[in-house]
Amino acid sequence: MLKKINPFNITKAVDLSTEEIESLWIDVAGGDADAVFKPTSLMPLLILGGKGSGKTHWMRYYSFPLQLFRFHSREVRPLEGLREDGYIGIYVLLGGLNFERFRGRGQSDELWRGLFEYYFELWLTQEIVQTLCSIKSADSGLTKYEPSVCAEIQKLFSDPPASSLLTFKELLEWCASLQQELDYDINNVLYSGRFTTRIRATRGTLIFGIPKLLSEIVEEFRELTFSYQLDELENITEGQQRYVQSLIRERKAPATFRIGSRLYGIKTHETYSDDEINREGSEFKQIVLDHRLRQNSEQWDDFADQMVLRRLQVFGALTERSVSIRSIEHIFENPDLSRDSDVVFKMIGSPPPGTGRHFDRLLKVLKEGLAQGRAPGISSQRDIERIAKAVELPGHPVLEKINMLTLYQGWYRNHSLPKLADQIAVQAADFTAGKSKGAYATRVQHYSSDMVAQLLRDEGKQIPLQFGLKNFIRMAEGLPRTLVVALRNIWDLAIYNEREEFIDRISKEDQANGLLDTAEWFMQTMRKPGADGTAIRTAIERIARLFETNRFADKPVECSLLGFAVLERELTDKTQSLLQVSEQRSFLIRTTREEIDRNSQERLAKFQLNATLAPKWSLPIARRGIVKFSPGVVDIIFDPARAGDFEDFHKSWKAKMTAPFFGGTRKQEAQTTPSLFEPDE
Amino acid sequence: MYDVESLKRKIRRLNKAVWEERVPGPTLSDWLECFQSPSRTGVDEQLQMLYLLSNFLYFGNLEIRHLLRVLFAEFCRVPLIEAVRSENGDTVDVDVIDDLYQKALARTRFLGVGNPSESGVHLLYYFRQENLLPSCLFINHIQLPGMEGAKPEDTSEVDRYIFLDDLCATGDQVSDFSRLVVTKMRDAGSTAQVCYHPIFATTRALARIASAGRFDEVASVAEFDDTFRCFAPESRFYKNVPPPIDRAQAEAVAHRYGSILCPPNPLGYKDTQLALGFSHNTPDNTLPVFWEQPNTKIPTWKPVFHRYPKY
Repeated sequence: MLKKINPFNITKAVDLSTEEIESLWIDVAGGDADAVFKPTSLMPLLILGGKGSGKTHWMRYYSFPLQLFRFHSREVRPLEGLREDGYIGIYVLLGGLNFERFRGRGQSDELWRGLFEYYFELWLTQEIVQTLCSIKSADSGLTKYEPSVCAEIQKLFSDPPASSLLTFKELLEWCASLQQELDYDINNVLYSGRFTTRIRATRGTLIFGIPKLLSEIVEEFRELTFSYQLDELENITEGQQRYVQSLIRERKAPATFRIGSRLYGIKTHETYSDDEINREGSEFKQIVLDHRLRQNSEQWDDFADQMVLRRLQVFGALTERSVSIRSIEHIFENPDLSRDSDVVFKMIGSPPPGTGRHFDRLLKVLKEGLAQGRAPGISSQRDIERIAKAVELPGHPVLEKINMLTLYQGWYRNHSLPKLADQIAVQAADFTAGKSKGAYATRVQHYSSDMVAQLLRDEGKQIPLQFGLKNFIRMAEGLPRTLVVALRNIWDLAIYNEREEFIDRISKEDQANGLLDTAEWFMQTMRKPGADGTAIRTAIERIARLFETNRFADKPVECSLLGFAVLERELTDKTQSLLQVSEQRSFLIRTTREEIDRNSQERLAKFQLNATLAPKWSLPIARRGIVKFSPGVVDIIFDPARAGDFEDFHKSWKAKMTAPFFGGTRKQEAQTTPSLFEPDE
Repeated sequence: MYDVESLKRKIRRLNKAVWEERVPGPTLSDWLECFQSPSRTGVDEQLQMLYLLSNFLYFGNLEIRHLLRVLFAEFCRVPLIEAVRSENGDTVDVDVIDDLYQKALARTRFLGVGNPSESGVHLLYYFRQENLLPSCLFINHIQLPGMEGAKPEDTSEVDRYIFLDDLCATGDQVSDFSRLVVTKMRDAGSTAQVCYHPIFATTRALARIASAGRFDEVASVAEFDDTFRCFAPESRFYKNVPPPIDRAQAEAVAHRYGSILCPPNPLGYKDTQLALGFSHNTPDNTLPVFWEQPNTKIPTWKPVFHRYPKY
């Protein structure tokens, strides 16, 4: 039982308190996060990931405020704790200082660059001096070093203060006043036309100089790594990133960097150091958080389970002191939608034998086929009735749908329908009698989910069919925030709809509606502004519509279709670029296993639609089906201006899967050669 | 295209963001259960009523308090300052304006319409808080000119009386009230300005009160014209709405249940047809299907919004 509290309300790590960051921390690397983050390593690390992949949580976890929190818990003096940790994390959010100000207004780029570099030096200096203040207030052991540290820091400035500053506090105030002067100049340069600020430190003087002198003066800092943790690199301009890259290249021990950025946030690896380019492995290492989790589903499942449990505990949603993840899973209503359960039969109104919307559809297309001469082997109404009778399996609507699918597949190949229906009846009888191998069994295994979706949609029950925590974890695609948002939405609904004081069951309707809300949120929050954003949104919606058409067709080209393959290098440059952005924004997931094209023997890139979006179009979440699209079709999909071409393609795509014509015209024979706009099967 | 699920989603969001969580899921379900889907005539009553509910205008505590600030600014502070400036050669001297404004405000009194237990009077407390007014500017009806409890100093030092109200939907209440109170004030020879300022009013009611001529000034903060009447031909709720949402069907449903629940006024008091609620109450001008309690004819009825009736 759960209290009516939503433990998933906070979805961003920046909104969590120090204590919450600590208590919600899950060691994603299976007990050895330090081996991934390597906080003591001097090698700079880029921590990349999609929006909501956990970058900020990682970086804040290794920042000084969290270290201090842990020292208190361990009852260790900060200086001693830092010595034991071997590092100190100086965390800053790059988006916080409005770096857009450093350009234009009648001043040269060179001037702005110089000012930005100085500003950045001052900013990080204040962060490190502030950290020293915090250490001093918690550990008097630092006091004896204070005068000499202050004196040495002042010497790093080309124009030190008039009178010597003896305490960290005084030093901090002086640095803040220098930054204020600079802010004033920057804000008023449009009116004044000139700068009065004098630059007192060149690139790296303070950023690298201060850690060096601290390690020389403070005994406990002798072996310490000073880790500047710069988060949200995507929020600064390319030129400013080039400066950060220069710092990475020119870094001096004991300082180093941990840099957090979205996948699309790295605008350059170029530096101002002789225009050299930083390269992975030599100047920096990088990890992509969501890729790591996606590639190791076991690790992701385990991480997600722990994250859910921890949230429930930390935010006080549990009524019992300890619960297992299994008992949490049981809270979610999870109807058995398998072929041998009677849930689906009941959900479609328990139709009498040979009736129901699926039979209505079959009879309609058989009649139409007969009238148009497009139903092989059928010459009378009696034949139609015989076929309908042959595919009947009362009480087993999913298997009846499998029978009909088999019939449609044979129909597409111009097989005699009465003969085929007889064969299907035999295969179905064998299968229900326990024969679990062969083509029929494979078809059941592959298509059951699609057939359940069809049966329910025919009854007007257009709800997502993903229930239970395991499915939500799968759908989040390695993005912790996506999972948290899905659970927040589901919990909100459960609380809203609960009559009792406690929640002991989360209904399938609440789960379904929560997932629909999450899909909408995902479309909104992940999108890119501007024309490219529109193109990507259009493309994702088009791909989803094609997959939806396939899922609800008489004869789908693929079972559980959620992905496509394409010869990437044949795409236009624009499409390639949009495809890349779609991937960076997590709308599409590039699957690691490439496919060899049968004709050209070339490697095809494979992409899967993010499963979070699946409920919006009633799509499956299993990564089973992949359809091959020609490069020309993908170019159409990604070009919003080619709406007409896309609709033509969609029409032909749908027609090919629809009885009785399967893409042929009324007078043509069944079409067997794919047209330009048809997918390869 | 509206369907039950998308409307429920909208209502859920409204409930969280605007309706102060007055309509939790079970309340909505219980209310919906009172309607048929579909009815014997084939009308999806639940869908029609859900759509209507999704257009319900709710003003919570914060909104009412804000509107009271607007009311004071619009109908008291600004006119007083304008008068001060105009009487002093359009001065821009802030000290002069402030001094004279304070004096003018001190010669103003605020009252509620109706007796002390009614909503017009209950607003005065919030009105005073929100506009940082001294309590001496608020008086009882018996202190008005012509009333038994009035003292000479109570009336001679006042230039204007401002009567506040939450809603003036038909004008019946304020008409009765003004006939008794304002007429007496005039008969007693009061020359003070007498104003009536509800937060909300229908265009029809405002016109009616103004034409009666008892008040010197009649105006509301928000005015509801006929487009706010749920089933008026010009109803804003049914403008360019695609089927299956249908104004005539919805009216028939609201009328059918309203006739059983509240026979004299099936579509709200004197056919006002509003879909309006406040944090402090739901007016009887709102469709009874939203607020009316069960009766012997429909004992299982459950309203979606609560109304505290006036006896």
